[in-house]
Amino acid sequence: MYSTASSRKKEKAERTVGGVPSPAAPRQYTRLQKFWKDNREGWMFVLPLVIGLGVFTVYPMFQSLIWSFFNYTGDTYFYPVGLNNYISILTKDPYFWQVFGNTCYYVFVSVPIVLVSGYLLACLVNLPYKSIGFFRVVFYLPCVIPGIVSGILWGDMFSTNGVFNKLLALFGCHSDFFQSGNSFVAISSIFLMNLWSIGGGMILWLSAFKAIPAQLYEAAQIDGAGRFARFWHITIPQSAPMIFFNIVTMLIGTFQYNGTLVFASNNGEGYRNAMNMFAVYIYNQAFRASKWGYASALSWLLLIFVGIVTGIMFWLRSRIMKED
Amino acid sequence: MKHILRIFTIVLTVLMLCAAVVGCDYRRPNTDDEGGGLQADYEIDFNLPVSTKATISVIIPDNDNERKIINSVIAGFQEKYPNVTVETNFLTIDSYEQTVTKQYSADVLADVIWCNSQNYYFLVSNGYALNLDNFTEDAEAANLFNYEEDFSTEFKGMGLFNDVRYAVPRSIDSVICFYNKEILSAAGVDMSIVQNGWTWEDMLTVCAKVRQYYDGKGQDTYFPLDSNLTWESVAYPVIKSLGGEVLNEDGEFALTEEASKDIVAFVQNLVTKRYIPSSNEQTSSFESGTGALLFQSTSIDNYQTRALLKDKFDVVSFPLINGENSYSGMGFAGYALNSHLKDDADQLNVAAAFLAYLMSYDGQQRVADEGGLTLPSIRADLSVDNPEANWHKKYSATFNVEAYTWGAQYKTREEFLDNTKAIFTSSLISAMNKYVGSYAVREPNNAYKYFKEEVEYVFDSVVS
Repeated sequence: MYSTASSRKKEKAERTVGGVPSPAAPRQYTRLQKFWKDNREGWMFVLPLVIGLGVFTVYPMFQSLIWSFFNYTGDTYFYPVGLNNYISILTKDPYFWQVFGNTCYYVFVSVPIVLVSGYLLACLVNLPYKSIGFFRVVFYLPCVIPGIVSGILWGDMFSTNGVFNKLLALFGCHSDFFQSGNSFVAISSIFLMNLWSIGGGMILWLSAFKAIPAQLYEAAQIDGAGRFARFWHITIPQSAPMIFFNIVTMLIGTFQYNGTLVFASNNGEGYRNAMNMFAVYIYNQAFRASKWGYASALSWLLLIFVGIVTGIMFWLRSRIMKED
Repeated sequence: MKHILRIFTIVLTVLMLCAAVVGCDYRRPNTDDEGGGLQADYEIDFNLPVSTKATISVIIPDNDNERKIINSVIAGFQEKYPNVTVETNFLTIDSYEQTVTKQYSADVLADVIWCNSQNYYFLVSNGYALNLDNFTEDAEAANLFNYEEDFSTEFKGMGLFNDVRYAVPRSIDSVICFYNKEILSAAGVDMSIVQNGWTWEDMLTVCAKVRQYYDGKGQDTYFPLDSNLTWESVAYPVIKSLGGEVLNEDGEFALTEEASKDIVAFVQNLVTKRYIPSSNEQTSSFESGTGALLFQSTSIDNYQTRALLKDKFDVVSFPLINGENSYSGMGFAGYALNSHLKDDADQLNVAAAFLAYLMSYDGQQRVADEGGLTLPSIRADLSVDNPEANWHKKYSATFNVEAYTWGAQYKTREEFLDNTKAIFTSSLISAMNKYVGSYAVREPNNAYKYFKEEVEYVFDSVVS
């Protein structure tokens, strides 16, 4: 509560004796003053960041929220349409649900694959073998190759005469990979490509493993725990916070995946929208079709969806923690 | 703390809402308004004193060719106006839309904007390009040029939307056919048929010979023709030559199933005979010296300066698809003026003078000489018949430079776009390119259906 005029008068009277200020009475601060006194250095330090966030994140967010209620197409149209952008997306847009399905398929398959493979790889390179550093470097190396280069490289490897089709040809098979009109095939090719860069996740896991006290493993070993038991009862529980952090950040990041803009045909959509995902769709609606209002509404739908999924993750986590 | 946060959030929200709402200036759709830069309510004073002191800016793609071209224009312009500084900004073509949008919104976009036939409609539909009607009128009044007499027919058909000029092409980009002389010779092609005015059948005969040659060498993944069917400057002439049209005068989808059958059969003929690939199986390309034929509008210089192609190729006109009813494509690269300039008369005068210099005899000669641009000039008095014209001087003895200007009567731009709103143009072009270059190649039975669906979606997508 803020101090009212009467309460401040009362406080003042309490601090005076016969109208003379008591020298011993400490100065009383309002909550706001106290907050400022206690935190001003901190606020001054983070002020540039706060201003940056306000100008470059918060303001555009609100701006896009407002635009999402407008038909806004550059200089041509700008008039309010209420919720019609949202209604149009959900009920009329012939591509939206395909885009939504593609994104969900990509997120809910890609995240576990990358997470588990990165985790297992980190377990392997955490083993106390000689020259293990060499393998760490080798696995991490693809991460330093720019995305655009690896996109071109993988486009070549997945081409009709690329290395993968040559391997498949040994078994009498063939795949169009990125060029396929089938979303299942086209998006699955990205999973394969993503394995190329799991070294990035590996490093994070490795740092989490290094933070686990060695005494725990020693005690377990003395108690007769085998390798698997140590992994199951120590490594996994001890890295649980990191696992949760990685799952949440990866989910959020993967929902916004727009890598297909680099290597897929038709402005990142692939053949007949086979690889068209949420972020790519938003980008193309905004920057190629100049439908800023529509793209803003799509962005807010993505935000809501990511929010729901993240909320479910936190709920699941609290349930698991309760059960434990 | 809770209260502080609450108040902070409320204040911030109110501020943001106010800031956003203040910027609102409702522009409801107007059926008379075809979109685009609209405004022409400005006047240009071309009688600039030589001592004029100003700074203007030009934005171009970050490549050596364009840099050289613009530097030659700047050098010539500064000889006329030594106190004018011309700053050059750069962008990448891949992020053209994004860069232009951001800079225009922030009011930091250059005064003169480079564009080509692909992203030109983007400038028009968003109102970034100034309507140049008054520019032309005022320049004629100042005796800088006579629009009708001084410029080529091709020039007058490019850079327009709804018969209004929004950009000035710096050269004529006609689609022609580049061919690799070594491959054609090795394949035993009768070169007497490879002449300006050759037909599609002639070209198929050449393709058949080259196919045989490739097969004989076991080069299954080499294809004779780099057709560029996903490029509107090839896709639209194919549609039009075979009796099709994308939109009618009322702006409605106009391609009939009958015409589509012919178009799809035409493309499929190339696919089944393996003159073009059916998917991403091609490992040959004209640019790498392994492909025989290429439809392109670029300059001879572009390939003559590459070691793999130097002195190994020549050019010929685009093959006539359907006799006298044939069409060939045009594209362009040129410059537009920022529409914000109409509110700054002084800056507009200098930027317009710069553009007018580019169009002048001296400007065009410099672009070809110092700028190294070997594409035909936009000026009628610098045609291929003028031996003094710098653009062909260097190559006219060794190359068939007439290919660029041959058959002006067959050349067409995407005229159907005049029948619709500018906001739809980019999406319509994209749908058309996919139809000819992708659906007709891969799914001939569904190509028409997919194309129609996409065009209908483009029109339905305006939320009201």
